[in-house]
Amino acid sequence: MGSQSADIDFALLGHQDSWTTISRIVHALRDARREPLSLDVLREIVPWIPPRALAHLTVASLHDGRERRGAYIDTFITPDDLDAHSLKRMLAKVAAGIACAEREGARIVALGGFTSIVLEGRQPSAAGGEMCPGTALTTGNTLTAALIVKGVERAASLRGIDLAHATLLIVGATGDIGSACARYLGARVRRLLLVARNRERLEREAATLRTTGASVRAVFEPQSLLADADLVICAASLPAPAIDLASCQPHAIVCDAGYPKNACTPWRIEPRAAVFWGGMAQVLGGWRSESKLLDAFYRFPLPYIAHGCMLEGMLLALEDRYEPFSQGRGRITSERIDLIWEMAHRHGFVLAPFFDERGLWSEQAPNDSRRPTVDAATAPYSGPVEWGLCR
Amino acid sequence: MTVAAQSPPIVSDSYRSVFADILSQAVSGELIGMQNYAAMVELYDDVEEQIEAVEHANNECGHAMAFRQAARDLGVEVIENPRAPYWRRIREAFLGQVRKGDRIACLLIQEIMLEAFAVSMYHAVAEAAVGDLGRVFDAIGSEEEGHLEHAIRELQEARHADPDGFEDKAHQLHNEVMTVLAEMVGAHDAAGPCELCHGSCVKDSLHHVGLSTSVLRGKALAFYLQALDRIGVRGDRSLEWVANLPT
Repeated sequence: MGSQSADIDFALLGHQDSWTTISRIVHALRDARREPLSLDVLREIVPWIPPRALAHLTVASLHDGRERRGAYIDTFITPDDLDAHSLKRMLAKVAAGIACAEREGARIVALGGFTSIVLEGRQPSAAGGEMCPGTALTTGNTLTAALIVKGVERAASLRGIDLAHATLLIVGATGDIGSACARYLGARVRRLLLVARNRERLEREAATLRTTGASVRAVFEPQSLLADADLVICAASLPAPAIDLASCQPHAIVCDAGYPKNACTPWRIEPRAAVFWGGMAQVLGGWRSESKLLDAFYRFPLPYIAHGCMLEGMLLALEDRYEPFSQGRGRITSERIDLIWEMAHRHGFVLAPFFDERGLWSEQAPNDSRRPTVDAATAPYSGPVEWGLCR
Repeated sequence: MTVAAQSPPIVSDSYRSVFADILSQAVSGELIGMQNYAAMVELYDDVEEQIEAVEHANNECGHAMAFRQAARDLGVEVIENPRAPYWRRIREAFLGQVRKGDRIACLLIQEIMLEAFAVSMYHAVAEAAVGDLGRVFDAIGSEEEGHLEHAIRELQEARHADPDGFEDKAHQLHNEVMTVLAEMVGAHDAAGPCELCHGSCVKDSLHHVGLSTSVLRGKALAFYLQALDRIGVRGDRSLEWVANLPT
């Protein structure tokens, strides 16, 4: 009793990183003839909304055409909740979101954005086990990390930066994703600069990386090191953009994989570093949904682009791997990154073309120009309408 | 419903004034509940179920009496008026469904919409009230939750049998009833005064006892949506209903 729909294969648990997006969702549902709700009213109402499935979708594999059905469940954790003071409240919302996924019959739940906090720091055997028997939980961080490191490699190649001679700065270096990127790229770059707030964890991370032969420097705030970096990965859990890129070198490449974004973009400073939103993939086989709400929050320059953490749930369902693939901090090895990258390519999940809030990069690697096999013009919904496609 | 009496706490005039108005709403709402359950008796063919409806009506009557007593203990008078404007609109919507013989619609109005409103409000008010008064609100809130549990099972079955028909009906009732409740707890009296406050609108004075309309409204909204979720109403659909409520 009480199930909301036919069982689904995967659930994607998430939250919005801006009130603008939340407003778009609410107003997509609100009759246009009614007076729009102000931000103050939204701030009063939205935190009380229990987690719920906002959209059901079906994803197809390019490999063999197999389809898996899933749901996007919004926790309604708001941007105002994304600070330490709201941890208890956030955990309760994540637990309610997972319960919602169970009611929907999901066999695997990908925990997007801050919702992965329930798994980080847990032992593998506890990941999902007692929390929701029969439903696997995955943070989605392995695919996100894979998309970041592959994106940095491709962007460097595109802009003529030789990794072997480059200095890589990682902000949020002790987090699950940041530390995975450090392990993967540490041996490939000339020098690694690590930034994190937790001093003890940072020093431990740096010491471990040095044992692999990497040249590592660890510091506690990023601004002083930005000018030294050719490549920057921002993967910190920050409640709002806080890293000023003004001191970056003009030739530098910044992969901002934060959710919310880590970097404040210095619009008026030219020449500026090339910024792209990292950890994003495009699903070449596309997906189908009757929901108008996906349009409200998946507003990227091309169709079928989404965050890696979410797509990991889809991907594992297509692989029939209903298992806690990504679980807990520090367990993403380079081998696991290569493994999920192989899975991703098998089903047509590719690195999203480079873009930031201003739109697509004007130059893309040849294989970035591929488009989804589903015709975007006739698809049930498509990408953003107000963005320019190139800059 | 009994609560062991203790010495009355010392409270301010503003506290007494705010709770006089809150108790007026509570008594009037319980009397509406009593009348609604009594009207539902004829919707059941089974005698046991008829008896249960009468018992529910009696419970609601008991709650009204307990609130009356709480008002006396506090030294305030309550305004009892189930025909006050907002409550009258809700009662008329309910009676419309009784006339149609639609028991599921009646359960949706009384057990989900009105009880969600009552339970969340009583528990929130219980935290703000001191001494016996808080215990009265808390105990009655818990008893109302028991009603909700009973109804959810029947509503789950009804929804399971005809998901689209059930959700269309729930949507229509939501527009009729939840709109009125949203206006009642809205920041301003968009549809005129409630006629249950002794003086100026109590919503402007709730802060004297640590309450606010936004928190009361938020808790009621959360409780209502959770009840619909448990019945099985699609989450995006119920959210759409709520997104169209007046603020």
